[in-house]
Amino acid sequence: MSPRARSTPGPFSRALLRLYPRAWRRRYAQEMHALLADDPPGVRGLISLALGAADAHLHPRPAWNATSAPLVRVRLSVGAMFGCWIAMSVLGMAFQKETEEAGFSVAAAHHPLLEIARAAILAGAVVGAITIALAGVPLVWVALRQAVIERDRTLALLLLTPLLALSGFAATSWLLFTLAPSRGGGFPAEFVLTILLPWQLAALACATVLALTPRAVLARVTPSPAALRRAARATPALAAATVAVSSGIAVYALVLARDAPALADLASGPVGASTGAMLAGEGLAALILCVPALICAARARAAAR
Amino acid sequence: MAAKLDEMGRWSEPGLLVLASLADGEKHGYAMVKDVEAMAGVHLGPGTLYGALARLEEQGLIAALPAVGRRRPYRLTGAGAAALRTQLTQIGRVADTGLKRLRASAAGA
Repeated sequence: MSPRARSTPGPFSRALLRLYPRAWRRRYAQEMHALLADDPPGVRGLISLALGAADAHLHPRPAWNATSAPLVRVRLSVGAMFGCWIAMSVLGMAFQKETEEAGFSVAAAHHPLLEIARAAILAGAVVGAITIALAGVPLVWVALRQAVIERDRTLALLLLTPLLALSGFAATSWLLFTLAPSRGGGFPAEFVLTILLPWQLAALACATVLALTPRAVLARVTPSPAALRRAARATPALAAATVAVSSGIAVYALVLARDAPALADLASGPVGASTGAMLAGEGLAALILCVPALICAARARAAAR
Repeated sequence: MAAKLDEMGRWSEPGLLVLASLADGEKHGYAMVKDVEAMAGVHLGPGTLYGALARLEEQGLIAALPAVGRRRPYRLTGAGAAALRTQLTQIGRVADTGLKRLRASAAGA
């Protein structure tokens, strides 16, 4: 590397790189960033960049899309698949939190479908966790190494993003519930509007950041083709786990919605309309989440072949 | 094969330098810039280098390898080696002829 080398290109270089066509940037921007960081351009280099951008617009090449294809598609699809799983995990945790009251156990004892739905969610969670450990952790390790070895500050920031999002959510939760007025056991409208709703929005924002991070990280990280193919091979298991969890939540919500009055008689827990509505919303979101998960898994597998 | 290089217009010279740089093994962008600088005394600007790389890759004269970190090495293909050989032979012939004529002219003077 040159004595002037740094981890990221200077602002002028970055601005000029943005002038290149999108397809060109998808194909070459990352390696061009590395070159500009290793060999920071002077005035002639910047002119060369500007002329290169003009030439790229004047002579677009279909190959820019084609040559980037397989491994980049695997990276992005695997990243999106991990994101889907994280979103599903958040839904699963919300489901667990809402159904932890003893009343739900009593209800499950009287309705076998509730028990089966819980078992499906548990099985999906276990399969998903194992798959993430086997396929995702090695990629996180590669990303950490790349961030440290190449002093890639953007990548380091992306890797820290989940921690920052979780810390932000924890701080918001603490603040909201410290300021919360006494609700006297129920859920008065004021409490819902000033505390519960902002808290749920904060949770949604945190979950969105967590779900989008893997794809953003993998768009920047370049693991070995073998590691990527291993991750791509794991995506069907992750998709199956996603379907199991989402089906479980949806069936649980459906059964509860249909039989709530009868079950409410049995259960002492809050098997009421609001909980039913929340569970129904989660079931619907979980089912919708299956669509991108299945698409990502199929794309990752196809691109890895 | 040499016709492919000729089709590159003003990019043919950087293209030739890149092919010559890759003749002894795969290199990534920065390594190519330094190698060309040492070999020919020419500093390839980033836009020029990647303009040439894109064209050479499209013509099948070089191939991109899996990236190592953010850097992606390139290697010469069989077609690239043939094109380079043809071009260098032509350049060598022109150089030989020119030098012979210079020597003859100096001897006659």
